[in-house]
Amino acid sequence: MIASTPTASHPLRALLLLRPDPINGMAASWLDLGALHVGLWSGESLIMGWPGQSAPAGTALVAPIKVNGQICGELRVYGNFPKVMERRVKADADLVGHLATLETEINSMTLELIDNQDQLLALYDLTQSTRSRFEMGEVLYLLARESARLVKAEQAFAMLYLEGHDPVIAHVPAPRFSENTLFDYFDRIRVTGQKILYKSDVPPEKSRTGVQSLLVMPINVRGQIVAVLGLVNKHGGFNAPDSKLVNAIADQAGAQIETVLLYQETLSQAKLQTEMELAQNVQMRLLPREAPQIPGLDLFCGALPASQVGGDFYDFYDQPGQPFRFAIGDITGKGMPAALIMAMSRTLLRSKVRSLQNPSPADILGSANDDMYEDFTETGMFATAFLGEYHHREQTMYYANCGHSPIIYCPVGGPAYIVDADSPPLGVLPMSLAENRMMPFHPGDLLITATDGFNEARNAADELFGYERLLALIEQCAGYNAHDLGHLLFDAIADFSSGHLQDDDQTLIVIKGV
Amino acid sequence: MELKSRKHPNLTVLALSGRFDSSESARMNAWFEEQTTANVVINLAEVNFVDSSALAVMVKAMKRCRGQKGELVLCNLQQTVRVIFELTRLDKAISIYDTEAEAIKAVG
Repeated sequence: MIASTPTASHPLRALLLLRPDPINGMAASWLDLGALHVGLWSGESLIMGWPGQSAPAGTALVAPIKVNGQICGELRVYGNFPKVMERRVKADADLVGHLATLETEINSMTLELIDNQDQLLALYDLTQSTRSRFEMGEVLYLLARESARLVKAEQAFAMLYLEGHDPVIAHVPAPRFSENTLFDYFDRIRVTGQKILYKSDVPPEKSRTGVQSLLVMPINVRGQIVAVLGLVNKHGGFNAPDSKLVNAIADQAGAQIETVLLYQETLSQAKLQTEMELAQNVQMRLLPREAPQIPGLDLFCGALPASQVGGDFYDFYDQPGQPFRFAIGDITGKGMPAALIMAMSRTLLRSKVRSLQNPSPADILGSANDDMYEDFTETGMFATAFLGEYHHREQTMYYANCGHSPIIYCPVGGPAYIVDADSPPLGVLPMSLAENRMMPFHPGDLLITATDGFNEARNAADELFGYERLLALIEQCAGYNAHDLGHLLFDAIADFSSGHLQDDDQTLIVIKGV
Repeated sequence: MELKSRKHPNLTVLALSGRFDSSESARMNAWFEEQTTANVVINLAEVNFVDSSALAVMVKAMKRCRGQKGELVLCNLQQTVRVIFELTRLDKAISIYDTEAEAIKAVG
């Protein structure tokens, strides 16, 4: 920044220094006309004289020189001239005054340009220094600091407030206002949409707050006022150019804040995505990858998770001396809460199967309901669950169903039908209504236990796959082994819903008597 | 989904219309939180779809009503919605009536 002008301070001196030719010409013309001396005077001091610096005694024609409307000197012409020449002296004085006025205007315009250029450079610096900052507090601090420096204010502050988040506040050099005061300014600006400009006439020593002048500017991000930039105390108060400059800084600040917000959003989305993928990974590992080998049964299992982590689960319980058991279930909802409750339900069912003495399917589900009812109530969720128990010698399947579907039984020769539930899902009622049921399970009989990701799969026209298609497909392909039938079902759903996002997990166990 | 409610002396009738799915869960949970009557009748005459999130909202509301010694019942279910209640056996946990008058009589 250039602090002082390169020219002499008196406008006439400045003119003589910068534009001597027209003035010299004018003086020479007077001397040609017979003038003894021509001079530019400021009061009684001669600024410049022609032909020299000593003026003769005698009378002179005198005319005032006005620069910017104010008398700042005189043109004196010594010589023996008739009275009418006064008019010419006056005209020349006016001309000199006009030239000096123009010169001062050019000078101040040059200064303003230099100043503007300086501010532009400062704004550029500000952009450069904040563009690599992605921490909001740091960005606001830099904005406040640079604004105070550019506007020559004693203090500055910046506050960002986004609904649902803590405010971010920066003070330079030290806090002067409480958070409440900042919020008062913020709210006022949000209501009016206008800057706050204030100047006190009370001298600083008598002021209670010590605030002599204040300028608070709104900062817009995505069309909304979400932040303010404030400057406190400038000698002489904040003027229109200050407002303009701070407005420009606020515009720049808005763009910068938006960049930081975008960065933070992208970062948190990426983090969330990573966590979700991790959760999905963990969840998939909790599900058995392969079905066990069980005498009398041909088994297949598979799961196709949706893009969002969900709450489907299945499990096999193959313990020595115990009948083979298996379970499938679905926690309401999606996302992390469903995934957490799913992991808990799976663990609890495992421990029930191990710890209860010769439990029936209804005992296991009933006991799990007793244990989990409160947790389910607390989280506002519930879980459908089907638990089956195969008795090889009896060629019988015992089962209990707490609100789970689809469970499809297709005895040899058909027809396939939906196995109804007896009880509402786990976590709905304090006492389970689950009952033990049985079905013959001979070679060739089929039991398909799936989750609603199958029957509720949608095609591009938003139609549901539905139970009818599922039943028909199973009847049609009942001769397949468990593995082939399982893959066929997954493929059929994938074909049907191609072009439509998979909304829900698809989880399947196919059991065939052999 | 549209939501209209009507207060009776000791119960609130809530009439819903449209799809009741996960996108409505937060709003519906908030609505139930604000209820001051322990008895609620939900008229589902105009609801053509419910998903498991909607069922969870209704179960949560049912538990809340019972916690206040009240009851939550449903009425006027469309066939597709009724099937879902039957498949999940939630019809054993939440009473379902054919008409609103019957539902009001049952809890009133």
